[in-house]
Amino acid sequence: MRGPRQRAEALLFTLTGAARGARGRRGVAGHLAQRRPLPSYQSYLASRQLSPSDHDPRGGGGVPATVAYRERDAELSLHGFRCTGCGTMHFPRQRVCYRCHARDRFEAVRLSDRAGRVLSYTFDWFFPNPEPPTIAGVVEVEGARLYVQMCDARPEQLRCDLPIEMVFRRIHEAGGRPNYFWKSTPIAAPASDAASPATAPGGGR
Amino acid sequence: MKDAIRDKVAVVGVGCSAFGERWDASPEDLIVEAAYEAYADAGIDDQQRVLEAVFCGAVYPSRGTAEVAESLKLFGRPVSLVQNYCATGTDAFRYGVLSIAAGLYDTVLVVGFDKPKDRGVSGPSVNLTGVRGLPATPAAWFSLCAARYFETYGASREDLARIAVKNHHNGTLAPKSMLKREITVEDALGARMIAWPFGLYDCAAQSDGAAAAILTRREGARSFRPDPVLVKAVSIALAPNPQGDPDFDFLSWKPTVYAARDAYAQAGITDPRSQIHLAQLHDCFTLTEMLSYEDLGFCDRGTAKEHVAAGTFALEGALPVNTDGGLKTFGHPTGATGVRMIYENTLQLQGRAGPRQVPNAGLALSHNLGGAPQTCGIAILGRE
Ligand SMILES: [Zn+2]
Repeated sequence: MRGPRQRAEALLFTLTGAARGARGRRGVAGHLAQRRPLPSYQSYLASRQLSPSDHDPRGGGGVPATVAYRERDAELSLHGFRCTGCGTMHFPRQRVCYRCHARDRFEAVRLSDRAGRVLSYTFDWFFPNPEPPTIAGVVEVEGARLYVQMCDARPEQLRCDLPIEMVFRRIHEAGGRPNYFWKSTPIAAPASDAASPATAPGGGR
Repeated sequence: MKDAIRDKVAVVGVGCSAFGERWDASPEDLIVEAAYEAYADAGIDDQQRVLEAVFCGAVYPSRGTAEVAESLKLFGRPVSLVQNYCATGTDAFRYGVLSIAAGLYDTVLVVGFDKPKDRGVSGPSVNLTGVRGLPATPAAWFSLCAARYFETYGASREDLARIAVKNHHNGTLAPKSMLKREITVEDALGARMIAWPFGLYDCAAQSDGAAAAILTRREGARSFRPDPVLVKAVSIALAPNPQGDPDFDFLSWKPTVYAARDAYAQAGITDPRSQIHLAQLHDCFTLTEMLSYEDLGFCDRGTAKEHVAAGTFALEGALPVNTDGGLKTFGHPTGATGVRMIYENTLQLQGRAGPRQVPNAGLALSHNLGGAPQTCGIAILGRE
C-alpha cells in the first residue's frame, strides 16, 4: 500500500516450494497481534505528517524565530552600525570594530533610503531560481558593505560602481512562511529593449 | 621565533586513496587505503607501537575522531580532529608538525579525509536557515573578485580557461586523480555557467578521498627512509569575511597574503618566484588559482594572465603549479585536500612523481583557501 488516503494497491503472492522455509514465522497475523496501537487520531496525523500545525518538512524549520528577532535591526529596518571611535561603517551589527577594534562603540545608521554603488557582482546559475541567473554582489551604502541579491536588473546592465538603491523583498519560503530581506536594484535604470541576451556578460564569454 | 619549526620535522611516509565518486567505499575504506600506503611508504610494520598520536582533518565526519581511531584500531593515544574550512587538511598537518617540534612525540600520523558523496547531494547544499548572504554557493563567493579584477587588469574568461586546460592535462598524469581527460579552451568557454565567470570547467568537483602523512623528528628520519622531506614552514591565517570587510579591494584574497607572509618568514624565503620550485595551489575555481599566483608573490599584481599565456605555471614552465591536476582533477574532499597536496609535494621532492616529475625540485609549497574565503593554510616542504 502507498499514499496516506488517495489510493490502495494489493499484491497477491502464490507460495512456491522455495518459500516453505518461511513457514513457522510470525506472519502478518502475528505482527498484527503484537501491534502497539496509536493512542489517538492526532498521533496518527502527526505520524503521517498530515497535521496542519507541523512545519513543512520540505522547507526545513526555516529561519529560527530567535535569530529573526535578534537580527531585526539589520534584516528588517536595514540599519548599518557606525563605529563612533573611527567612523567605520559595519553591516550587520558587530561587537568589535574591524578597524580600530573598539568594543561596543556603535551608532545605528539607516541604510534603507540611501543610494549606493556596486563594488563587485556575479551571475549565479546554481542558486535555485525559476529565472536564473540570480544576480548578487557586494554593494556599498553609506560606507557599509552588504552582500545582497539584485532585482529588476538585466545582466548586461551590471558594471562595477553602478548606482543602486535598496528595496525590501521576499527572499524565500523556508519553513513554509515568507522570509523577507533587502535586495539592491539599479537606480532609474532606463529600459533598453535593444539589448540582446546573447551579448549579456552573464552568458557565453 | 619565526623559524621555530624550520627543519625540525620530517615527512617520512605519505599515502593517498584514489579520489573520485567512491560509491562503494566507506570513510573507513578510504582512511585505511591512505594510512596503510603511508605505513608502507615509511617502512613501518609496527604502527601500533610507532605512532604516538593522530591528527585528523575532516569537514563532514559522521563519527568525529572515532572515524579514524576505529578504522585504524589506533587506541590508547591522542586522536584529535581539526576543522578549518578548506584549509582543514593543512591545519591537521600543522598540529602534527607542532606536536613534534614541541618535543611531545617522536612520530605521529596525519589523516585528512572527507566523504561528501554520502551526503545525498551532488554539490554543496544551499543553506536556507537565514535571509542574508544568499546565494550561499561557493562559486558565487569565489567569483566576488572577478568583475573588479577583470575591469582593473583586463583579464577574461579565456585566461581562466587556460588554467583549467593546464590542470586537466596534469591530471591525466596522476594515477589517483578523478578526471583524466584533456580539455580545450573552447570546451571550457562553451560549458554551462555555474556562477559568472565560472563555467562548469572552472569549478572543482566534489569527490571522496583520504590522504595520510607520517611525521617524525628530523634526527630519526633516516631510520624510516633514506630521503626524508623536511618541513620548512606551515602557516594558517584568517582574514575578515570579504562580503563585509570595509577594507577589501576585490583584487586579492587577504588570507593568502597573510599566510604567505608568515610562511615565507618561517622558511626564510625572500624571493618566492625564484626560490620555490613547484606549488600545489587551491584551484577550487580557476580564478582562485589565478589570484593566488599574485597573492603568493609568484608574479606581479595584474600580470597573472600574461604568465598563464606564457606557460610559466605549466608542468614544463619556470614554476609548475598543480603538478597532479589539483582540485580540478582530484575533486575536493575538503579535509583530504591539504594532505593530498603534501603527498604530491613529497613525491616530487623525492623524485617519485613519474611522468609529471619536476626536475631538480628542492622546495615545494602547498596552499588552501577556504570559507567565504576567510582562511588560508600554507605548507612548505624541502629536500634535506
Ligand atoms: Zn572603529
